[in-house]
Amino acid sequence: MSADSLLAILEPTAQIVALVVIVTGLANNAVYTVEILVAWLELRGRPPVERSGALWSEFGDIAMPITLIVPAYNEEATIVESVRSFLSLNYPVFDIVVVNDGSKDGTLQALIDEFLLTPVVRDFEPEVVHRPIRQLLGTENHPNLLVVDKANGGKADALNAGINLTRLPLFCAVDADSILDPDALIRAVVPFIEDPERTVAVGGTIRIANGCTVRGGRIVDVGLARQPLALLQTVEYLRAFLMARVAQSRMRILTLISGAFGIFQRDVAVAVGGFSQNTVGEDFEIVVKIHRHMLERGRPYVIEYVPDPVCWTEAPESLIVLGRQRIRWQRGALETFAKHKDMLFNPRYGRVGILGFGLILLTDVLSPFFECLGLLLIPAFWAIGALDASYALAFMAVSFSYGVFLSIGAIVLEELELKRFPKVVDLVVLTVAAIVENFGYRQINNVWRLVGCWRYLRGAEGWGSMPRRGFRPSASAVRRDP
Amino acid sequence: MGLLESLWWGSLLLSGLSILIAGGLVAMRAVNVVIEGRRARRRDELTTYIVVALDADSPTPDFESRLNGRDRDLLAEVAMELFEMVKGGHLERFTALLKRTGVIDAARRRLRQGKSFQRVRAARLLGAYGDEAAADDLFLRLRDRDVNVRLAAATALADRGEVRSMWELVHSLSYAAIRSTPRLRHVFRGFAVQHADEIIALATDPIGRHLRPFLIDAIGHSGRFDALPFLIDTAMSDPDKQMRAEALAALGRLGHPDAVDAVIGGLVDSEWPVRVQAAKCAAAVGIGEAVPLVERLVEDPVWWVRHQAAESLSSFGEVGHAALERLALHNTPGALVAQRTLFEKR
Repeated sequence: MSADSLLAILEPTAQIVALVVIVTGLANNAVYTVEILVAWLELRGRPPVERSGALWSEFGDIAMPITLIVPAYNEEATIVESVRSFLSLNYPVFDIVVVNDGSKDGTLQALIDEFLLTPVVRDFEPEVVHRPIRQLLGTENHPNLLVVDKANGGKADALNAGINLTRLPLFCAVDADSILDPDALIRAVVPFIEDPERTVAVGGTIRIANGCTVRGGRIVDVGLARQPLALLQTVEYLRAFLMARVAQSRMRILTLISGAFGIFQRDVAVAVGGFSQNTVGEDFEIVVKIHRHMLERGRPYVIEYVPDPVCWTEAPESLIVLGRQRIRWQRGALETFAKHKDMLFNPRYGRVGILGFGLILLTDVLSPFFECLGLLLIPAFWAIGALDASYALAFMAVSFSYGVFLSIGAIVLEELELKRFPKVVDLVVLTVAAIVENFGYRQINNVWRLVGCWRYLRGAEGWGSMPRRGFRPSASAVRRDP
Repeated sequence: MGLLESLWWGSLLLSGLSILIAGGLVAMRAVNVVIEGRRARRRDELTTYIVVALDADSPTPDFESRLNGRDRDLLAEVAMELFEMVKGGHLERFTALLKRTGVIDAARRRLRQGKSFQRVRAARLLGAYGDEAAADDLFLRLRDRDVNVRLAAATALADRGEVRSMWELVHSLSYAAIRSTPRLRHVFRGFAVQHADEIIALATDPIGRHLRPFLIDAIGHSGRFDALPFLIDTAMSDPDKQMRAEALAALGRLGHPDAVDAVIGGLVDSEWPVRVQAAKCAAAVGIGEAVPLVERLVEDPVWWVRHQAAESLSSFGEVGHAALERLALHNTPGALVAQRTLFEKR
């Protein structure tokens, strides 16, 4: 076959590939445009964020009791400070159940030493499945603290043990390496107070703690991460939470409440069998299960996202660790999508099936594949002369500038709603990060997502290690005052 | 203009717009930093003035006469934060200060004309510091078009403990499409002592049917033993399990031994939430005759009933302890609950 005839075949192929990539990109951008508009409308209509004191006098007497379930696996570096931080939350009545999920390090011993834990007995019913519990530990110094020591079974398994051990109507799943704002619980519980019968789950905002100053287990000075990778994740989180979640919550199609901070009605979580153990996206999957459960029974319900309660988490600062995290997220999303694929475009599941699952199909299943395809093939086709570069470049320019526009939009929403970054210079740095993330970071994220797809197809299991610096005095990522 | 050119122009436009928005945001923030700084300083000045004024023999007319609308907003904000802390004579002085400085009048205006969230905030302030005239304004807001304002007005009136007419209040809340939020429980508890007669009457009247659980709950907080026949009758014969359970909970709170028949009936009720409340009520009132039935509930098919029954038994002193020890010897699900309860109480 001559070069000319090969080119004659490749040219239409290249045009089709370019067209598919462009159409997918346009569809993605259309979704983001709708999301940012809906989020803006939603946030604009909200009353100003209440000060903590006003919240307490308004809800202090009527807030429902909550159990914080803290799964911990090899969290020796952070667990004591985290539990101290949780114990000092401003909330009228709450329990803390720390579940040591068979840690191989000194997580349990650190807790025993710090809180003077001794074995206790607690009556409970095994309503959801989990690996055997070895012992329960408590302390007279903190009657609301219970430590569950169990065989290793993964995060979902640990959460399930916590669900069984709680006797309160609501539980809050929170990561052991996270820090909650002191009034995060009272802010997050408001939908349950306003509409206790229909509200089944509420998610709050996750923000990057890198660059912040932590004192006594609390964020006392909010700052931006200095490390570039963490900084780029800050913009990414703003976009994910203040744009996507706000909009999806408003449209009643919220399918993800972050595993780092979400409140659930215990009865409903039990009714859906608790967290599923055969997925790495247990936080995503339980929300989808709840949607399915409620819709199949025709029960009115609300799953809501509230932007003001904030949970701070430490972002990975190395490409390898971040890559592992993103690959795992992608696998989790695909596992959930595959498990509940019958909900896709199924009118029985209303807007969740049509819009919610349609979004998952577009953003989690199709987008990474086509974006990577475009990244690889379009330059290749151009190099061999099968594609006119001018159009491809023009579309790429639109795509990049639109990406910047969306990220700036998320920063605008943050500024209108939360104003958590205290310095003017922070906004400038965030703006620069919003531009820079489109050149390299976004693309590598797509590659990780594609790897996640590959791993999912190969049936990979496990979480991979996620080393943390911890909120310690020696940590450079998160500053802690002495 | 062709497609290609449009794409490039579009791209340029988006980039320019993004940079413009970001620049505007930064400029806005810079201005806000200055404004917020001034506001925070003024807030501190006002807080200091309040703290000094609460202990001073006489106010400082000069300072107060210079206050403007923004100051009044700040004072209202500080007032809500200090409310839990200011008591007795200080509360009276603070209320007088807020009235003198026009904060109360401003809140009354807001309650009538403000945006929805401003009306809610004004209602809270007037509930805490308002006078008779403010109570009248709050009462009128029970008919506000916004359900949140109605609820805020009802809560504010409940915080004061008085309302012109409970019937009007129940009527407003019944038809306001308010869901059964814990706020309603709080509202009716607020009126339980001073409006017990009306609450008892409303609990049996069709007008109160949407709010019956909260009315029954409020009766439990009224301390009125003359409501016992109504509660006993509700606990024993109401067709609605929620009402039976609420009535038993209210009987437990009143703590009168006449509740014995209702408790005995509740312990063998077909609905488990009623059995739970009956077991709790038996323990709260200390009804010894109920112990054998509570003991039987430790073998109930529902775990929560088993657990609550065991908890109740542990409140019965030696008799309950002996019952738990007997149960603990069996080889049943109830035995496990009894064993764990015995360990927990050690």
